[in-house]
Amino acid sequence: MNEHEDQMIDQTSFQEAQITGAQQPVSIPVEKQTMQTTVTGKKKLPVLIILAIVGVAFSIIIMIIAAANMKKAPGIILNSTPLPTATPTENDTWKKLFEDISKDAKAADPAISDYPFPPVSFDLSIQTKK
Amino acid sequence: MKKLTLLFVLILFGIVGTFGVPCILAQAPEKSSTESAKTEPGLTSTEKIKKETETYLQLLDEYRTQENKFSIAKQQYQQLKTLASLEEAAKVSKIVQTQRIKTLLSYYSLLELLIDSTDGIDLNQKAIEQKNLKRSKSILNNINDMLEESNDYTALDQANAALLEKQELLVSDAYEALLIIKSARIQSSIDRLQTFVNKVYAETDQTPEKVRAFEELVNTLNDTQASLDKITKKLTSEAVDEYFSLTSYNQYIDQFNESYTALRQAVSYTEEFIQ
Repeated sequence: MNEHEDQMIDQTSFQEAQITGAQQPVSIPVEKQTMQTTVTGKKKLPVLIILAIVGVAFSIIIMIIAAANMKKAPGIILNSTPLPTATPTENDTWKKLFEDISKDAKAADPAISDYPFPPVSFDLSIQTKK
Repeated sequence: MKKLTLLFVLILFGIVGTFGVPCILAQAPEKSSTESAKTEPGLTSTEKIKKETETYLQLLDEYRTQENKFSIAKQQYQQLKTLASLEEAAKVSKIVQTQRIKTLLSYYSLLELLIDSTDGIDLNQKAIEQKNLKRSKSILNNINDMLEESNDYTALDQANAALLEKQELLVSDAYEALLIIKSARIQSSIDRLQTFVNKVYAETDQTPEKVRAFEELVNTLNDTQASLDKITKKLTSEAVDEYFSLTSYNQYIDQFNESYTALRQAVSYTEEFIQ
């Protein structure tokens, strides 16, 4: 019975709304606007929190990566020194020594003018001699 | 909006903190290492030569700038013949002459370092060269004292004339030192090659082919040594009573080239010998 009554009331109100259409456009948009603002307000907050967490996490990851790289850098230098994989043969030692001697001999080329006399003028007199 | 700004600031701090600081840290030790290298008293001879070369080149560069200024001032004085232009020329003359002395002093210091560090120079010859270079530096210092006391163009021209008078000796000392260094470098290479060849020969199987190659190599090295000895003997005897000039320097370089060609041949034979 109650349900029936409700239906009846609803139908009446619907009919009323239909009839009194002038009042409806005023009341409904106001409700919708307030609804939208509350929904977006609620949505913005979690988005901001997520963004903040992502941002902080991102910067922490970068810091960790950078710190790891900084620590690794000297290690790489240390590891870059060639480790003797096999004992060099006598011939290899001679070849190495010969390369050094050959380099030394090339540097002894007299044609290389590495320290020429300074190109300075020895005559810097104000009064030119006649 | 405030929270968004805060977020960006946080990210920005994160990025700056990670990349900005290492950049600053990377630069700081580099600067301190170069500073310590300059101030460190216990430098190796190579480092000393490098440092003196840098100083010399800087001084030479400055001299060139001053020489250009002097040429302009002198030209203006010759055209105008006014007292003001003469004073200006005298002012620039003092600067350029001082710069010339500084450049030459640095060059002789560089030669001293080279003579000191080059292997293969006879000890007596090394002492002679050091003495000569010290004499040249002494002449330059005396002229520098003259320059410091000179305030008018007459005194400045006198200081210039004093240097001009010693030009032949100064140039000769430098070229002699340079030739001795050239000779010593070839000598050092011969010595190193000789020692190396003897060691290789002693430690390998002496097959008839090896023996023949070794004998050929020894003959080439002996010829190189004889050629160099001849030139060095002539050089050291001439140094006693003759001045060296650019012309005589070039003549000696041509002769050294012959010894050097023989040395390169010996190096080539040695390469074949060790294979």
